[in-house]
Amino acid sequence: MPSWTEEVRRRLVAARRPGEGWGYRAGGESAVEPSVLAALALLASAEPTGADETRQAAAATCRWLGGLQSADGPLGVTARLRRPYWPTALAAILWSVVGGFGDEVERAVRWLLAVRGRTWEPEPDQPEEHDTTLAGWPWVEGTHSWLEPTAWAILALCRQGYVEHPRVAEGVELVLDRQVPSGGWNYGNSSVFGTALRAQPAATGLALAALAAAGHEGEGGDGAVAWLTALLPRIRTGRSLGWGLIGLTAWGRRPPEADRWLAETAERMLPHETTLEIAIPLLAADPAGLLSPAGAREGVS
Amino acid sequence: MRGPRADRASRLTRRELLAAAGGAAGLAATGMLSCAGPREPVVVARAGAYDGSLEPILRDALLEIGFGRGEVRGRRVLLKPNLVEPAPEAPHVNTHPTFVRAAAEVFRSLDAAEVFVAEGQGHVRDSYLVLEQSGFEGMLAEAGLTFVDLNHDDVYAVRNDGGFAGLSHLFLPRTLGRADIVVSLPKLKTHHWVGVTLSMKNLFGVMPGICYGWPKNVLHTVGITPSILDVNRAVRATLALVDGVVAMEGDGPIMGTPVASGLVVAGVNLPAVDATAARLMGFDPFRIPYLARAPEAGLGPIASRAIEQRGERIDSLARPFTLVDHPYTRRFRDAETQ
Repeated sequence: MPSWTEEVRRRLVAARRPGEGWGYRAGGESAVEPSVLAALALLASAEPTGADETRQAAAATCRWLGGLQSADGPLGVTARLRRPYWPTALAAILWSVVGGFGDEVERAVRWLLAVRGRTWEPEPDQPEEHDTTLAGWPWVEGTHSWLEPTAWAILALCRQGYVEHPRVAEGVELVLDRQVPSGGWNYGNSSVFGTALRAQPAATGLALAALAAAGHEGEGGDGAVAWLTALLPRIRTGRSLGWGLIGLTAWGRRPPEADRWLAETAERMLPHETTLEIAIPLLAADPAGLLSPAGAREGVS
Repeated sequence: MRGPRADRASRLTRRELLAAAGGAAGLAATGMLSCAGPREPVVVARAGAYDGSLEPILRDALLEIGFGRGEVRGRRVLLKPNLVEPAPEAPHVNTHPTFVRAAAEVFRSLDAAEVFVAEGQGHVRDSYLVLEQSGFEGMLAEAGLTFVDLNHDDVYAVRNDGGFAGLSHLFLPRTLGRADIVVSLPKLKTHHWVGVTLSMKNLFGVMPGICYGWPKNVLHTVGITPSILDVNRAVRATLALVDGVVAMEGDGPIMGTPVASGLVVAGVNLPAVDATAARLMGFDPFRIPYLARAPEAGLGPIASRAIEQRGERIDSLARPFTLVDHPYTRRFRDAETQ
């Protein structure tokens, strides 16, 4: 195992709040998203000798997440910030990977299948040029659907075997509809007021991972793969490189230089003492990929 | 919280603020509210380049509006630039790092206890990519400035006293609470949804993405104009320094074209600053909905007669900025009438 992954693991283990999870930054309040991604990264990178300890820590985080879950399924951002509910899909993935949290997963999935982003019929001269009638998942209940929460919901649902579900199909349709002409994705606007917007690497990688989990091949993906493949050699920030590589890996197009890029990126990100900037590269270091199509659909636990 | 920011907020009690807001509806329409108090000083200065000349320009501008060592000494200063997304091929999307560096050095020279940069960009979650590709990463390291990602900060809730957008509470980043002075450092830009984006709209970037999504969806859903008013009432920024050295026209705030305006606009009242900047861009601020309602919200005046114009004359520098040509944006186009 490369030395950088050992150092990232050491930092993550040290940053975990006992009985809870991780904050977005060292010393910050434990939050669902960094807790899920840090736990997934540790699980994906665990050596056999430390696997039991890692699984125990992940299970403890799962129990903490379970304490945040509402009876009807969703959970919020932190213990104090009980809404919005966008982190629910992430928690469902970790529960599923760790195993033994079937009730929590079932409630989360039921909630995910019920919640829909706000839609509206297009009006004449509407500035937004995407299909506003498609429902994916919102960041915040009652608002429009956007790329990242939709991608997370697709990943969570596919992991539970909902690959053929109409909600997943509509989510995939929405993801494809929001792709920008250059080939990638951003937060979820393809074109506004007649102008095509810029793509961003992290959103593009996450979208590719979601499409792969749903078994989507071809349309949209090849252009995004080409766009990311050309961009990533110049990207050395944790989230963007990490998600970009996770996306390319899910499409079987992991660049051979990936490990070197990740090592360089981890070295740059470690001084910031923020969780996601090192957890996502560590997650991306696993070429098998907990979020790869195999991991997403079949489970690795 | 202490310092000038708290002092300014405490000039009006909450009861007085509410009374002012309640009685404002009729007065605002005639602009009378804007004339009720002392005129708000706003400075317009020329600034031709992103180089060492900016620091004395900003220092002089602050002194011109009465913001000197007495207001800054021992205070913690939060600099809030406008960073939207990484766009190395279009640097005019974001506030220029040299502009922020110059502001930081000015506050340090005025004996600030601490100066730091904070932002919660609206279009991308990877703050470090935005910092790197906008030139901020190198600048921050060279200047020894720390950066706080407001999108992923710990948060706290405050009651939404403004109540314009119908949200009962607003979530604010903890970091805001450790700043005595909050400086809005926007880019001078057009904005396809609200006409212009300046120091007031820039405060959307204070609102944590983990609570509001990307691109701050809740604030768009409940209405950009009422949200701007609520956010400005909650944040109560101390000061505005507008980067108009190279501005943006056309399809702002991210896809427009650069304009070498060579301008800096500064003031302690954000609506007054933004109204002045809007006039420099050839817009009637009364046609910009959030500016038109700023007096009603108790935030400050926008009428020319309520603003004490200092420095360069508007009429000698004003230049009509283009807007993206679309039926929606025509509402912002009417000529200056005030």
